[in-house]
This record gives sequence, C-alpha cells and structure tokens, in this order.
Amino acid sequence: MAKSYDVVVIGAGNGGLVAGLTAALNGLKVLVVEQHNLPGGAASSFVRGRFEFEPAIHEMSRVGTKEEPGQLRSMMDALGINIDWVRVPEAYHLVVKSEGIDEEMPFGVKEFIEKMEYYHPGSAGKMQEFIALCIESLKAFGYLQGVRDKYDRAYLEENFPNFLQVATLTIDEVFEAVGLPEDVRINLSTYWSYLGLSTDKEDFMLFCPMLMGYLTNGAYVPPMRSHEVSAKMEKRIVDAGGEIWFNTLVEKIIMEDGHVAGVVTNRGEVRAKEVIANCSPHVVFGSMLDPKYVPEDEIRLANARHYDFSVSIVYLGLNKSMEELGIKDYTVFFQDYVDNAKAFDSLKKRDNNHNVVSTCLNAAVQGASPEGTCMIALTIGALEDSWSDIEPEDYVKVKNQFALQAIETFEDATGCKIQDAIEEFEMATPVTLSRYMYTPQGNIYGYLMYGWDGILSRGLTIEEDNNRVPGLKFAGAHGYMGMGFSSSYFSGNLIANMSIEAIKEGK
Amino acid sequence: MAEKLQLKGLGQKEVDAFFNLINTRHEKIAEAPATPLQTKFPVNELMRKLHPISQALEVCEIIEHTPDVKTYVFKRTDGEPAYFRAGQYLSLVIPVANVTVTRPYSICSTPSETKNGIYKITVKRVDDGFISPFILDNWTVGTQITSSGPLGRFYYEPMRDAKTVIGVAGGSGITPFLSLAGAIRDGVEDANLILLYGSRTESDILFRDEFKAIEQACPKVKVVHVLSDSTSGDPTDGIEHGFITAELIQKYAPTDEPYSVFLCGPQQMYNFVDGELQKLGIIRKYIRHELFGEIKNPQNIPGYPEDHANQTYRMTVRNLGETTQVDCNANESILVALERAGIATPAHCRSGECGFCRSRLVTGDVFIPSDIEGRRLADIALGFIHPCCSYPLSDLEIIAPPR
Repeated sequence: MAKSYDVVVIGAGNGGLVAGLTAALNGLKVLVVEQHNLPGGAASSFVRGRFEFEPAIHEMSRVGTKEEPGQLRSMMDALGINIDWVRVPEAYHLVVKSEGIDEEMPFGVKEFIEKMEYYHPGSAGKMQEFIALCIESLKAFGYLQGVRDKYDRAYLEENFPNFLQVATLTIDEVFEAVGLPEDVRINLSTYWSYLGLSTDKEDFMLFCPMLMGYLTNGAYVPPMRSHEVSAKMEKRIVDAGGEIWFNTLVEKIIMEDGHVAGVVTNRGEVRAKEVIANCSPHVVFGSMLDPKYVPEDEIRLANARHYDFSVSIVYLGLNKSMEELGIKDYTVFFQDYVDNAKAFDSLKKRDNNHNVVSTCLNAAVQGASPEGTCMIALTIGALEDSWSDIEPEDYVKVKNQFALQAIETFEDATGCKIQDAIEEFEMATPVTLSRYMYTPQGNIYGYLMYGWDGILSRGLTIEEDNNRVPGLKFAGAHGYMGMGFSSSYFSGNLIANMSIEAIKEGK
Repeated sequence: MAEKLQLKGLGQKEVDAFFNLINTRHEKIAEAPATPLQTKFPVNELMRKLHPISQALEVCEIIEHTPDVKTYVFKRTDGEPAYFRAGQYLSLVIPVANVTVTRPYSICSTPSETKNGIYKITVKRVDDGFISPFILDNWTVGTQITSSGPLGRFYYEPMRDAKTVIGVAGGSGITPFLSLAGAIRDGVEDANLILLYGSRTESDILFRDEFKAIEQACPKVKVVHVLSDSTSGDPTDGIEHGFITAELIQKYAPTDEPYSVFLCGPQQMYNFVDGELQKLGIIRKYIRHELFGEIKNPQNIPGYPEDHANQTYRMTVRNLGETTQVDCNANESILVALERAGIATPAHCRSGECGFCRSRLVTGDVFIPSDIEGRRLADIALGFIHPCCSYPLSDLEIIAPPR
C-alpha cells in the first residue's frame, strides 16, 4: 500500500525545506522529495581541495542582531534553526570604471545618507525624503501582507498616501518623482541585479523592502556556507518526524475528486492531503499534472510570464591572503554602464558581458579558508538562451574564456592580480545550475517579477494563486514573494501555514 | 496621518492603478495564450547531454593485453556517449553474485572517440580483489551495464595548471594519462605532457605501443618508463631505472617555468612521490592526485582506535521511510556493508570526495581517515558522513539515500 502523508513537498530548495519544516513542527506527517542528493538547492556548498565554496548567497537580509532580530532571524529561531550569523562588513561597493565611479556604501540608514552626501554633496535632503517614502511603503507592505486583498481602502488612504502613489511605479519613476539627482540614482541602483531586472522596469516595491532590510538590519551570511542552513533544516525535519527522500523524482501529481491526492515518484506512489511545489509552475502544469486537471488560467498565467535570469559564477580558491592580493571588499559591483537597462540587455550574450559582482568570503567570515589563502566568487548574469548554443565538446573552452573575461574585469577594476594565485578553479554556468537545481534554463530567480506580476500583485492574490488546483500550493522563487533566499524561506513558511490550516479545516 | 511628500507628477491616477492592480493582473492572465506550456528547455537539454544521470553501455569489443589486463570498449545504447574531459571516470554499476556494487574506472579512450560512439576502460586483475577478477572472467562482448555520466576532476585545467604537466603514473594508474596524451595529440587539450610511468619490468608496461604512436605524432607528449625491478634499456629508449625521485623529475621537468604534477597510482607511490615533490618545493596548486578508491583494513591507518578491528556491528538503516537491520564489519566501509545487504546506495568516487553517498549518522561512532575527509564543514558538525570512507566503531543507525 502506498505510504501516506499529510504534506508532500516537491523539492528541497529553500522554500521546500522551510515548508516541510514548518509543517513537521506543527505535527503533520511530512515527506520532502528531492531529485538532487543534497538539500537546499542553491543553498549549498562544495569542496575543492582545501576550500569549501559558497555556491550562491552573497548576503541575507532581514537577519539583524540577536538583540534586534530581523524577520528572518526570528523565523529561523522559531523553527529551531540556530545559526551564528556573521555580519557582512559593508552594504556595497560600486565600480563603473568608464565613468570613474567608485563608491562604497555602509549599512545603517543614517550612515548611508551621510555617505551619499559625502559622494554627492547636497543629496541629503532628497535622500531623507526618499527614505521616508521607503519607510512608509514598507509599513504599508507589512499591512498588506497581513490582510492581502481584504485591505481597508480608507485605512490605506489615511495612513499611506505617499505609498499609494508609488505602489505600482518602477524604481526609476520613483527616483524621478522624488527628484533624486542622477548620480545618486546610479549609486542607489547598485542592487538592481539582486532584483533580477533593471530599474526602468523593476517595481519600486521590490526594491524598497530589500534596501530597507539591508540598511536597517545589515546583511549576514551563515559561517559554514549556506549548506549549514540547509543541512540543519534537513536534520530538524527528520527529527520532527518528517522524511526527505533524495535522488527521487516526482513524475505525476495525483488528483481525486477534484483535489490533490498525492504524487507518483520513481520510488512509487505516495498519498498526500496537500502538495507544496517548490518548483516551477511550468514543470508542474506542463509535465506533472494530467492536462485534464490543469486550469486554463494556470496555463495562461505561466504563458504570460518570462523566466528571470540565471547566472554564471567563477569560483577561485587563491593561494594568497586578501592582504597579499590587495583585496579589500566583501562585495563589489562592477558595471560597464551606468544605465542598468543597457547592462541588463548585455546579459543576453556572453561576449563583452562585464557586469560582474565579486564576493570575497574571507572579508566576512574569518578563517573561511586556510591561513594564507582566500576565496573569491565572481557572478555574472545570464539571460534567455545565452548558454545553450554550445556543443558539448566546446563547453569547457567557452566556460574558461568567459571565466577569464570575468577575472580580467575584476583585475582591471581593482588592480588586484589574482590569476597566478588560482589554486582551485570551478565554474558554474546556467547549465550547471540546471543540473543541480533542475530549474528550467537553470534560472535562479523564477519568473520576472514586476508590474501586474510584481510582489504586490502576487501578494494580494496569494489565495487565488494557490487554490486553482485544490490542495496544490507553491513555495520558493516561483511563489508569491519571488526570488532570493529570504523570500523563499518566508514563502515556504507562509505556504506551509496555509496547508496546515487547510488540513485542520478538512478542506 | 502620514506626512504628504512632494512627489513630482504623481496623483490619483497612480493611486487608482494600485486599487486596480488585481483587475490588471486578471486582465493580463486572460490576455495570455492558452497554448501548451514549454516543457523542453535548451539549457537543460545541453545539461543532459553533458551530464546524463545514467548511460546504458554494452561491451562491443575486448582487447586482451595479457590474461590479467583487458580493455573493454563500450558503446552507449541509449544515446550518444557523453563528452568528457580527459582524466575523468565512469562509475559503473556492476551486478556481481547476489549484490550490486559501483566502481569508478578512468576512461582511457580520448574525448574525441565519443564522436565514434565509444568509451574504453582498462581493467587489471587485483588478486585479492572482488570486482576485477569478476569482470575479467565474466564480461564478454554483449555484456550490458549501467554507468554514470563522466565524473571526477583529475583533468587538465588551464585556468589553474601550468602549461607543462609532469604525469606520475604507477601500475594501472596509467589509464587517465592515455586519455590525456591522446587529447593533447587531438588538439583537445593544449598542454605539454611529460609522463613518468613506473612499472616493475618492461613486461608490466601497459599501452607501450599506444604511447609510442602518440609521441611520434605529437611532440608535446613525452613518455619515460621508470622500471623498479629491471636493468634493461636506457634513457635513449625512454627508459629509466629505480623510483620516481626528485632528481628524476628535475631531469625531465622544464627549468625555466613552473610545471604541474599529476599523480595517479597506488597509495605507496603517493607517499613516496609526495615526499620527493616536497624536496623540490613544488607548491600545492601545482600538485594533483587522482583518488585511489576505497581503503581496506582501516586499522592500519594512523589514528584508528584500538580494539575495533575485525568486530562485527549491527547497523540500522533508514531508507525511503523503511528501516532495515544489517551487519557491518569494522574492516569494511559502511558503503560496503550496505551493498552486501543489498541496499542500493548511490556512490561514485568511493574515496570520500564526490559526496554522492552522503548519509546521516543518527547514532553510533565511525572512523574516518583524516586525509580523505571530503565532507562539508556543516556536515562534519551535524553528523553527516560519506559511507564510502566511514568505518563502523559501534552499532549504528544511519539514514541512507536511495540510488
């Protein structure tokens, strides 16, 4: 007889792990099914020689200190996932060599505004207004997360009049409305690549919570790479009575009487009251669910969306210390253009793509690699099919050429020569990410998230979006909060709570 | 009430856009086509060509070098053989007697030969071995087995390695170098290879003719046979005597530029040659070892606690929600105990590195040789193990993944 569970989670990525853990801690019988042999999806690590690399995360937001915890630390504490989070030293460092821009920004709202004033004298007043707008918008966002589409219009109008004017605007439109000077806008746009879209299209409401999260709570990394978070969740799910089946593929979702009834895996059939998909709706509705059960609106919704970008990442284990190599920063954003819409377009091809984000883990985590060594990761966005036109026999050469381009961009902009110090070299492309994360096109951010499908829109319609197929819900980057570690963790938690409620109510 | 900010050019239109957002969303969904969803993705298709989860192989030819050394030529029956990097291995799933085990074998054919649809591996008899005698005595043309995609990292990496590679090979450790030499000849890899190949006598040398042909066709490859138990031949025939010492390496290595040293052979050879490399002051970045597979008799390794050898322990195995009890012998890895019990466990490198067999040790103690510790920091802290290099020291409970 088929094994029976309350909740089956498809995919042990960030969203899936938190969903599984939340449900298991609430006394539900949980099975998490994962194709890979490790938990976490992007939240992982890999060992090369004497280095253990962080594959994905640059920094996590909303962690905060023990005394003043952010939303993420509080949630992890509540789930019993104890991490000695390490604070990242600075917010960001922007380098646009062609324009002579080289600006380093700190955490802390006050400090941030002061530093902006230092680089761009006269900007403080407008920055104060901008931050005030962000704070108000963030409060409104918090209110809406609680009530979703059952908001009180009069309450919104009374308390959040400025938010209501900017709620559906792009980042650039808000910069313009506030009247921020051009050079301040360039600085403020630095995080655009963390949002997956350039500031001319991306919603201000995706940017604002992220910026404010970083400025007020700082940014953190787990000391033993993000695999630490994943492995702790894996362990705790099992200790709470749940199961995780690795190397296991979900082939079909079973429907009975118009409701999800389980899944078929390559290990056999499994019964479930609720299924939480920590994977792409394209896969769920295109391959897992029998077409006769797929609501037409799900097809239209998926067709209306576009995949966000993937990335290539060059991992370098260097046989010299940061000091010896002259490396100073944790994160540096190198851009070819001040116009990030142009930079975004340049991700469609491999050649002359110099939009590199570098991280040096040793600048945050002491002893991240042995004495006298350090680790660098260079991340470069990749859009659409920019990595699929390659013959297998050319793949390594193409990869290495691309890596060299990124390394030279880094060397050129920082003056730090690192090529001769490469003791370990590894590179991930979208192909690699599709191998380990199984996402369509190796994408890491789910669907582009803006406008009608932005974070507000997804948040307001979360219930209808997770109820078109009764018993089937979505967590992770494709879900209502979109991409990023924190967002995936939060969506896993919220979606699991919806499943718990549904099971309690016997729906 | 919040203070009203001066927001240029904004007004009720923007406010209305927010209150209309859900309708806008519904409209956009309704406008989109209901055409079937894309289910094939070019990046994922390329990934599966490069990294198939498994490959169905069939022996199509057997080349007998000696009765104890044979090369098996495989064709893939469920697609094109995946392209690989010279030096990589295939993890073969081998049914033998009543159990199924995996073994990593270096591919000794060249990457270009995948275009002809083939892989080659060479198997040398290990007298007290379990698998090599089975293969040599049982595999025939037509034998079908399953393998992994190409795996491993014992390959030339121009981003990291010097232009010249000194290959140090011992015994059947020669196989990945045959692939590398061929790849250099084919122009697939751009490096110089100086191969110091240790054998006991001339009759123990494998692929002598193959290497000679490559040397003749390609000036970037030079092969020196280093004979430990013979006095025949001299350097003009490409023959040296004794061991692969610092002196010998220096004799053949470039003097004016750095060089990388790649080692593949038995543990004793690594122990000796590593000492010689230290004398030469070669830095870590320029030294690469191929993995040498599972360790037998862990009690011989420094650090092994007393009084555990030869003990038999009871192991509780949780796998896919089922619980099984099996015996495990202190002298054998937990992976071997699982295989003996017929529990299909994923494993590739069997040397602690690839992590494919990663399992959770719920209770009990194990011995893990410190020099093959390939685990992640968090896994060490949380009690996850690689069964291929973990040896039981007590009764155990583990959660093992399915293959």
